[in-house]
Formats: sequence, C-alpha cells, structure tokens
Amino acid sequence: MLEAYGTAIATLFQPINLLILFAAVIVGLIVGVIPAIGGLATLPLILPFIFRMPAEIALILIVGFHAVIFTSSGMTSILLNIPGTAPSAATMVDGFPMTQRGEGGRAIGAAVTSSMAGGVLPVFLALAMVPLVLPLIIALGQPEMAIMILLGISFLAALTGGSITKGLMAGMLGLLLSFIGYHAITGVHRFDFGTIFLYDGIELVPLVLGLFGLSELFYLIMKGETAIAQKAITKLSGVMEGAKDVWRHRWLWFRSTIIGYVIGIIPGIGAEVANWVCYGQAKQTSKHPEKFGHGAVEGVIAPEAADNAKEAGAMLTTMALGIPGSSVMALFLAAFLMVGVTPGPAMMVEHLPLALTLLLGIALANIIGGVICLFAAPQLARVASVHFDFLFPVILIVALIGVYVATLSPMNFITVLAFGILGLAMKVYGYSRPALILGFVLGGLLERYSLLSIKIYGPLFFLRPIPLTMLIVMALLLSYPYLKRGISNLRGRLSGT
Amino acid sequence: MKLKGSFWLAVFFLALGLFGIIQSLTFVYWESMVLPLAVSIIIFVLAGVEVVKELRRRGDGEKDTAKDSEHKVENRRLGLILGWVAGFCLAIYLVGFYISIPVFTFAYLKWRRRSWLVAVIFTVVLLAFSYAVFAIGLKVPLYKGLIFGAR
Repeated sequence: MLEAYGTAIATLFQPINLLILFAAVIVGLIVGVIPAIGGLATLPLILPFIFRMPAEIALILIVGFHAVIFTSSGMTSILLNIPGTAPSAATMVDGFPMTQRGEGGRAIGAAVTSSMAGGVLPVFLALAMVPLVLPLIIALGQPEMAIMILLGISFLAALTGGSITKGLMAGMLGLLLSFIGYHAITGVHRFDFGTIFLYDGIELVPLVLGLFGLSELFYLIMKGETAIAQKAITKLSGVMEGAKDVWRHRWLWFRSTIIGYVIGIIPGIGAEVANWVCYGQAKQTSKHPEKFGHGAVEGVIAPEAADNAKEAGAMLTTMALGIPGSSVMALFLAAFLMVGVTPGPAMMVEHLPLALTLLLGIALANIIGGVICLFAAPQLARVASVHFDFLFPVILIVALIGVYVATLSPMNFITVLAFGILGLAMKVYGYSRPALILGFVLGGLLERYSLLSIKIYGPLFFLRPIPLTMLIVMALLLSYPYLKRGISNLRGRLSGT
Repeated sequence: MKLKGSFWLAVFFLALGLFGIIQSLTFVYWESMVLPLAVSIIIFVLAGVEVVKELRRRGDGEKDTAKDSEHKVENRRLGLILGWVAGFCLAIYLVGFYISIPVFTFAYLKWRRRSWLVAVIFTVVLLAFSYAVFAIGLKVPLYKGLIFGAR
C-alpha cells in the first residue's frame, strides 16, 4: 500500500503531468467563471481529444479541469447572481447580497478559501477511509436511494422557496418535467405530444440556463438595473478578510466538508444535494439564522466547502464501485473506459497507484486553483461593476452558444426562452428554482429506484427501517415551521394565562 | 380588485397538475404511470391550496396607484427585452451565430444610446472572442443558420 502511495506521488510530480495539471486548472477556472456553462457542458468537448493520450495524462487532465470548476463557479454566483454551475446556486443566496452590500471581495475570499480547503481535506479522507466506506455504500439499496432523493428535494423545497408549498410544487414540477419523453422500461411516450423534439425529453443545459441565466437577466432589466453591483470594486481588499472568515468559522467549514464528502460518496445524488444540505445545516446551527439570505458569510462558506468536498467522495465512488457519484462523474466513467481503465472494485486492485494519483491530483489542482483565484479575485470582481448594457449581450451570447454546443439543436432556444420566462415568474413569486432543477436531474433515478423497489420489496418498500427513518426526518423537516409556530403559540398562551 | 400574477402562476400549476393527471391515466403500463400520476396529484393539490390562499388574499390589499404605474414600467421593460432575446434567437436560427452576434450586439448598443465608436469596438471584440474561444479554442462548429444550409 505504501509503495502505491509513493508511486502515485512520483507520477503526479513528473514535470509533464504537473504541466498538464496546471494547464487544465487554468482552463477549468475560466470555464467555471462562465455563467451556467459548467463541467457537464464542457467536459464532453475534451473527451474526443484524450483518445490517444496515455491513461495517466488523460485522466490527470480531466481531473485537473473538473476539480477547480466549482472553485471559480462560486464567483459568478457571488458577483452576478448567476450560478457558474447548477450546484453553486446555493452560494448565490448569501453571496450576491454581500456583493450588493459592497463585500464581493470578502465573499470571494471566503468562497475560494473554503472551496480550496474543502477540496483538499476530503482527498486525504478518501485515501484513508477507502476500506471503511465501501460496506456502507453497498448497504444502500434501491429503497434507500429513492427516499434519499425525495429527502434532497424536500430539503431544497423547505429552504429555498417563499413557502414550503411553493418549494414542493417546484420540486414536483422538476420531477414531472424529467418524465417527458420515451420511457425506456415500457416504451411508452410520455408528455411528448408526438414530437421528435421531446422524444428524449427536455435537455438539462437549456433548462438550467433558462431558469437561472436568462431569468436573472430579465429580472435585472425589468428592475431597471444599470450595473449589477456599483460597490464591488471599492471593497476588494476584503478578499483576505474572507479567507480569515473561514478560519473564524472553521467548525462550520469542517462540518460542511465532512457532510459534503459523505454525501458525495452516495452514488447519483451528491452533486446536487450536498450544497443545499450544508447551507441548511449552517442556517439551522447558526446563532443568527435571520441573517441568512441577506449576506451571511457562513451561507457562503458552507456550500462552497461542500461543493468541492463532494467531488472527492463522488470520485471515490466512481472509481471504487464504477457507479457515477454525480452527473459529471458519468462523463468521467466514459473517459476512464476510453483510455482503457475500467472503474470498479478491480480498479482499486489493478490500478491502485493511478487511483491514488487522481485523488492526489484533485488535492493539488484545488491548491493551485485556489491560490490563482485568491490572487485573481480583484480582477474577476471587476465584472460586477461593468455596465449592464455590455454584460447583457455577453451573457446572452455565451448562454445561447452554450445551449447550442450542449445540444446541437437551435430548437432549444425555444426551451431556454420558455424556461427563462418561467424562471422569472418563479423568482418574482417565491417558487424555488433550485428545487425544480434537483427534481429534474434526479427524476429519472427516482423512477428507476422506485420501480425496482416496488418489484423487489413490494409497494410498501418505504417501510424498511432506513427509508422509514428518512421519511420521518423528511416529515419533521417539512412540518418544522408549522410545529415551531404551534409551539410558540402554545407558549404564548401558557405564559398569558 | 385585480388578480395578481401570483394567482395566475398558481392557476398555471393547477392546470399543469390536472393535465399531468389526465395524461398519466392514458399511459398503458403501471410502470410508466405510477410516478407521473403521483407527482401530478401532488402538484394539483398543492396548487389548489395556493389558489385558495391567493383568492383569500385578493380582497385584503388596497389599490396602490404608484405601485401600479411602477409595474407598468417594469412590464414594458420586460416586454422590450423579451422582444430583443426572441429576435436574437430567431436571427441565429435563420442566419447563424456569425452574422447574428455582430448585428445583435451593435443594434442593442445603439438602442442603448452608446456611441458609434464604443458600439463598433465592443461588437468586434465580442465577435472575435466568440470565434477565438469556440471555433478556434474549443473547435466547436457554430450553427450557420437555416438560410446558409444548416439543418
């Protein structure tokens, strides 16, 4: 085992590998900053070029590229209120109000430091805990996975909407949208109106770009904004202050990192749920929960730590079990196979040094990316004070090119426009857009796990111990505001009498 | 009292839930029906609750003339920008990215009363950036438009 660690370190620190990693980090940082593009849309563009590369170089390239996307994507959430990637939407909730308050630099400092450190620690956890986590992953069957997805949607619905009812409705709409198209199990066409355009369902990229990218543009223009944050440049000295904030809230950062890492290990749901779960726990454990949503730095630290932490967990699951830990990890799976490495338990035996090299590569990429972001943050922060007349064409053009690149269909401009309008209405009237996205992304998995659970365990599959516990947690979460109100009313009456 | 947008959005969800229920019941196999039906029922019930809440709120508010005129201005701005975006999408569909990008950027900046020099420079920079990043850097062939033979 120690020999494998030695080989991994020696491989990673070969000059060519370091050079590739550095270049990949730079590209990854740039891609992460471009609003709503993210790794899911750009990683497939790299795959055709890695065919003839040696496995270690090809995989170091994609690991370095992907590892830092979440580090820089938080910046667009903070500065533009547009998530660089779908999961970084959680950072917007408090990051953007900080920018509006003139603390964009501080928010970026906190986000980058938290993200960087959150990307390094879990790698060492992954390296140390491989033998311990495998039995836990295997113990989660289809019923647990199905209920886990519902738990994730409920969390989002409860935390991000104007009300729980509206949040749940948005999550359910996401699920319903995910059912559109050809149903592979039965061959039934659902909600596609007999059109070829909807045969494979709605594409994720135009949906995300419409719901977040375009709707934000529409909202800002509707409100007559001229510049997104006039104060952004004056407070850029706060970048280091933000880094210190992470130290001040080190236990919150540590908790979020561990939670993110553990959620990341669970196949299929990590990427989308981890940020919001960590945001939720930060709010619930805070002494000042009322400050969340209005620019609390803890609301930036928690999701950013989880954002990168979950990737190490997801990577571990992908390599150790051959099950993608997130949507992007599904593309990683394809990349592994393309260069002749089959992920799964065999990989941990036959290619252990390579697996360790990639895990260490994530840590090194995060350190390089974090340092670059800390030094380049002032320049990036200037984006926030550019007049909106110039930002509007740039964002619109990049978004529409992104839609075309991801789908190769100009018809999806209709999709992006439709979801832009829906996203605006949801934003204005307090419906949770993140819940919709999560429902949409996980709808297919939920259906597969549910149907398998019904077939294996019967229709009452959710009465098994772990799913039942999860359902109780979900019920408590959804009824918490009503319970709290009821208890305070009761206390009021008792103290009155 | 006029009904607000929040009411109509709730009605939209209600209609969507109803449509989901009706459609789901037409799916032949239970495997393809069970989840869409369950989800549609939940949407329908929750939307019903929201509609009732909105109707109850309907009579509560007083007429606010200042707010109404502000909403009118906002709606006008929104209508204009939707027109710009829809027009840009249509232009890309017809003549592709390389013609639509400069035409849209220049026209938009002139509409926003930017000077000719600023509009031209920014248009050229943006076109060069798009070409450099996507066509040269990422080697992505951008859509050429229906008129120029793209499908």
